[in-house]
Amino acid sequence: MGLRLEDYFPETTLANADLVKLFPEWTEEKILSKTGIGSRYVTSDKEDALDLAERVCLKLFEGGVDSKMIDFILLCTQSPRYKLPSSACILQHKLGIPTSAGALDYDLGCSGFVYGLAMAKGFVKGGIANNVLLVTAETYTKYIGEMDKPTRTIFGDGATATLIDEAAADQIGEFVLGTDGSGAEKLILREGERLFMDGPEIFNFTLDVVPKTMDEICAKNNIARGDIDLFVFHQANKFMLDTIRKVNLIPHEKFYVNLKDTGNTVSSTIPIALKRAEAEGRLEPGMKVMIMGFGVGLSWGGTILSY
Amino acid sequence: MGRNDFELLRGFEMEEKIEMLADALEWEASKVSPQTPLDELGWDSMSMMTVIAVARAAGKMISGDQIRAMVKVGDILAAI
Repeated sequence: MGLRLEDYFPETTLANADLVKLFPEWTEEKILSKTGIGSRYVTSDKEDALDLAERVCLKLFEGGVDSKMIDFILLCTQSPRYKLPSSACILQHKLGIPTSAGALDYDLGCSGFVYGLAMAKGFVKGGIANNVLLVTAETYTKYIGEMDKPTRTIFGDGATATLIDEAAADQIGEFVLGTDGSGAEKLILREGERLFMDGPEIFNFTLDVVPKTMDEICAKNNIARGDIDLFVFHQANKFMLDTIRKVNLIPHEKFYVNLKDTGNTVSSTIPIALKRAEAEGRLEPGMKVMIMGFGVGLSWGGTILSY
Repeated sequence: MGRNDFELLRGFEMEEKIEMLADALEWEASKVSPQTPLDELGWDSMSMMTVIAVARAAGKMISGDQIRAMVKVGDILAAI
């Protein structure tokens, strides 16, 4: 059984055709072939990550999840509306979630969904909460300079909401988490500046950390790589994913890539991919799925989901 | 699982390395020499990551600072 999750995207899109007008040395086809991205969603000036978070939670509730049973909100965002209070507290009020619920923001990027699952599972299994609402919402596009070709090409905005209850927690395996703050400046947003990404260094970091983490996840979950049915990794960009797949000898059919219309939505890429993989019939009961997030921090984490 | 798609580059002649680079970076090999400025070849972040991947396949590591300091094709060839 899959996780109960929803995704939400802003209405405005930025297509490759729009980018080519700014960067005429590129073609639409080249951007698509290199990044795997044809279009990405962009928030307007009038909406922010909290708006996206609210809308995706409402979508989850419309699908049958009762807001009154939520007893903890975990909101992963690096685009909070205010420095304080936590956006999760505002979300509690906007969604009519009982005041008996706990709520907190946590500041992580591409590893954020995995860390959220780890905390949510811990809360449920530790008796702290019964129904955790795990939300990822990010608007990196607001941080990117108009002429920053590499980052504008890759990042898009979006949000997801996932319910972690006892049944969901039972599906979530053992975690491998890691941090290397020495790489903090490789992907950073300083006060008053635009987003800076050292693409080559992030690429090196990823190629170093992913194989090691894959082995650790397998060992901790007592599973062989060959017994994993689907690998759903952070959807950074197609080139990076292709390289990860090749250097780790993962069969094409077991490696999920789907970011053509969304781009890299940071902490939302893994849940979006899981939802799409399920909708496409790629996930069936009994399957073992390895998920892994990696990026800004530097931070990484992964686990096995049992469908 | 299948074999790694990358090949080690050690032992390859300069022309062969250029051909492989040109193939990976979608350059026209006949128009590329070690002296060709990278600026004339659409050198960008994706090109940098491609070179890093090729270098790793050859057992070599290239840092972000190293790759940003490269100005001509010969700099890449020296690194891989």
